Amino acid sequence: MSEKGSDIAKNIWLAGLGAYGSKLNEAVEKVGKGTSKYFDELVEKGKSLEAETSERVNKAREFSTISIEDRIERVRHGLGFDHKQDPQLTALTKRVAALEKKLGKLMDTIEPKSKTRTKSRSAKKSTSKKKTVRKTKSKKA
Amino acid sequence: MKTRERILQTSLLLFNEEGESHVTTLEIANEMNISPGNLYYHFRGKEAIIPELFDRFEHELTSILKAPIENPLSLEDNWFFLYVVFEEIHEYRFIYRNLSDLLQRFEVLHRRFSRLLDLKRLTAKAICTSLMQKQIINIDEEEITQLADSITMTITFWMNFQQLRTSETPSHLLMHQGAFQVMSLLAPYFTEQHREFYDGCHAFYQEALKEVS
Repeated sequence: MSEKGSDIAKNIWLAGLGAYGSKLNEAVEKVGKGTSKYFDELVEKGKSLEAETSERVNKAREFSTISIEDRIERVRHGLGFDHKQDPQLTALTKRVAALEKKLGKLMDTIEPKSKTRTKSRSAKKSTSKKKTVRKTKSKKA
Repeated sequence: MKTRERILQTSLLLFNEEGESHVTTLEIANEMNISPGNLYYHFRGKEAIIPELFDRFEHELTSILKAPIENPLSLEDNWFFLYVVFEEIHEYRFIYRNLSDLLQRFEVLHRRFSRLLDLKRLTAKAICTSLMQKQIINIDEEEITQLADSITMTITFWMNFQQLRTSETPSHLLMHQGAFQVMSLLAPYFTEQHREFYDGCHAFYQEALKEVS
């Protein structure tokens, strides 16, 4: 009984929606022809409008919500305060550091060599040996 | 994009540029190349459009303002946060432009706008309190209330004030001015160690001014 009652209520509501969606004079014309058929038609129309309405209600809920972190990040970027370093720049910085280290080692090998040279000629043999050993080491590094 | 959404966006654009009171629904329909009847099908006049635009503004600004209350920001991020707030207000500046007129016509919006003002004050208080706790500013509780009110007032009316002074201020300059104006409200309270942050903001603002002019 109650199910039937709610069905009727729903149909009336849907018919109302359908009537709302159609033009008034069109409605007046059709009323003359046959009311029950017209009612069914309105129910059908109401159904399609109902689907449309609920879709719009859902759409309205989809507000553009960007998180505050993202918005702050965008402002930071826009004002030119980027803290996140460019990955290319970090890679280059690393390479420069590695090259500096190598250069430092190379300088170490050069400096003692020039010192030993001035020392004495008798020590020449041993220093030249040392030199070649260090060279291969630095190449590996 | 759905017609309904386009109506809202076109209305916002025209309201912002020409002032809400100067724009008719016919102009909105013309701008979009749709019939006035089509517009009427979606919205029964401006009285239906304005509250919906306000809904969006309220929703967005509320989520922005709540962020620093829930999670304190770093000193620097507070400064960027000011820009976000000004950006949001600028995006819906038609509301602020004829505030008293608009709120008189829409009784419901009046109450809701008051709530937004309260939230602005709460946010300003939360930020000042967190800055005080980190000993970035030296201030007592009572002064915080006054300062929060001044900040709220500046945020709310800065653009109107600037518009009254000079009508043709580019929008990004408005942001810089607004953010720096708020910073200068805090300036007297900065502790010696953090004074340089304010000086940095000042230098940045001077640069921004140069770029614009």
